[in-house]
Amino acid sequence: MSHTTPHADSVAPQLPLAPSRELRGVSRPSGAVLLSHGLLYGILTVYVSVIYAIVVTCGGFIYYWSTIAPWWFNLLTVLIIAATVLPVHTWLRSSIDRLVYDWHDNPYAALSELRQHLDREPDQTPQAIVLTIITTIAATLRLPYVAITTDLGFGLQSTTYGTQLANTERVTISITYGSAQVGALHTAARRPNESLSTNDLRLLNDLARQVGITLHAARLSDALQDSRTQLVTAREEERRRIRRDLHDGLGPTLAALRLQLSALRHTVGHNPDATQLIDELRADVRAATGEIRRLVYDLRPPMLDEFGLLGALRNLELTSDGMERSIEAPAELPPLPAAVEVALYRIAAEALHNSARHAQATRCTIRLALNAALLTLTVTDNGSGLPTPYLAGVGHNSMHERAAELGGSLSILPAPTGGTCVTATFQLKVV
Amino acid sequence: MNRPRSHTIAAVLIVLYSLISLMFELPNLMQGPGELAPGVEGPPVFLTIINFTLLILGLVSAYGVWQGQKWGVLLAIIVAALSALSGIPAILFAPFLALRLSGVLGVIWSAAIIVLLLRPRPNPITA
Repeated sequence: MSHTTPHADSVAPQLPLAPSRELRGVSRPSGAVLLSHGLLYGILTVYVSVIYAIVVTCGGFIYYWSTIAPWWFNLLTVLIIAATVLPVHTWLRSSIDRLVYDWHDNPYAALSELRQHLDREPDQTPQAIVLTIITTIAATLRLPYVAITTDLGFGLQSTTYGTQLANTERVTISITYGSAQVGALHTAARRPNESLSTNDLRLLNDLARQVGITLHAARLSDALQDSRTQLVTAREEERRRIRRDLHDGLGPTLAALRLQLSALRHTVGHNPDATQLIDELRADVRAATGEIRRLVYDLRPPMLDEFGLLGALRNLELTSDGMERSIEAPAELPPLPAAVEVALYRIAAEALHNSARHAQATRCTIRLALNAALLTLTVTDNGSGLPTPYLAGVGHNSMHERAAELGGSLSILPAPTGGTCVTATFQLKVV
Repeated sequence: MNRPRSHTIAAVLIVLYSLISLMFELPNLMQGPGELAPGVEGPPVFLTIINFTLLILGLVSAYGVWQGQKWGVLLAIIVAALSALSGIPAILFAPFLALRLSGVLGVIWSAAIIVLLLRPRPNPITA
């Protein structure tokens, strides 16, 4: 079996569509129909005969080798056949159709197969969707080579299944959505010196129309996720800027104002009205400073700016209550956007909180791993695990939401060694 | 070789069935119609010839299945169905219990081959 080898090629700006083979309507080959029907009803006949022979022979055995079974054995035979012949017929028909036609004459079944594969994992990335499409087309049509060229947001990319055999004609079919071209489907014949049949091409064209809709939807979904990520990233960057301004600008200004009020209080001497007024002003300034400090903390965890993400996570380790904790992380991380730092910090804090408060864990490990394009945070504890039945609460939903809004993913699963394992993964392209 | 595991098993079953049956059919074919036991006639010659032909075709179809050819699969299914059909007289009319049981065994064997050959191929996505 060919293995899947997706790869990205740089291709010309124009999608390579020509030359496509023109399709004309062709009636179903009568030979295939005869073969399919012959096999189906031939095997069914054998099935019925065999059931009859076996049941009647058993009846004969029961009646001491009598050659004629009692009448009710015939009735039993009819009942067994009546009860089983329809499921056998259904299974045989689909199996024989799959074998004889290889989906050629059943585009609905091929489309249904494609839809089922796509539905199996509804949250796939556009790249994974393209891979699913080409592997499904290759499997249903028994094609050794299928490729799709499309723009998934990184310029034109070609995703390939299998390899084109030597001496085979390469066929390219346009993938469109409405009047817009969204990609191209490339394939080739199954054997050297052969070409794809008109039925193959007709089915591929039918599939290409559905693929066009799917690709268009995937691109829209991806663009929407990108917009969402940009919004969240911009929001967190803006929060960081506002926090810096408050902390470095307004905070010192208020502190200076308070000092000046103290100096003014000494200057006015024993005027009780003025002293009372100044004291009230100092109390107001103190309250405003406290409010600014609270705002600064709410905008962004201060430890992130003071110690960086790794330092903040280590500090989180120190300030969390009673558990034995450890942290495993690379010595240094690349610069991360504020949004990702905050998301990782908040998710780790929430997971630790849950471990201590709800799972009664005594030990917890925080792992931060940077692997190729993935940044992964794993928090594992040895607590009582997830409740049964599991129902996500506010904290878990919040963690999911924080990961999803940056295009990442989060899973909360039982840990292999008992307890709970929270894993948050972010794509570095987002980062 | 693009051949599912079920087809490999089916090809092995076909070869085993054909070789074992040939060991019994060849003497019948060489000696012509005879007696299974004193006073008990053996199978008719035409049935022996049909069985022998099916066994040879079975070996050919096993080669086709092994090579991953569609014609091999189709031929193997047809041969298995006809083999099952030819086993029915043995189940109904064979004079000995052993012969009847061998008929039932042949039918089960043929059914297993058909089921294995008609099983859907595993999808590369989930394989």
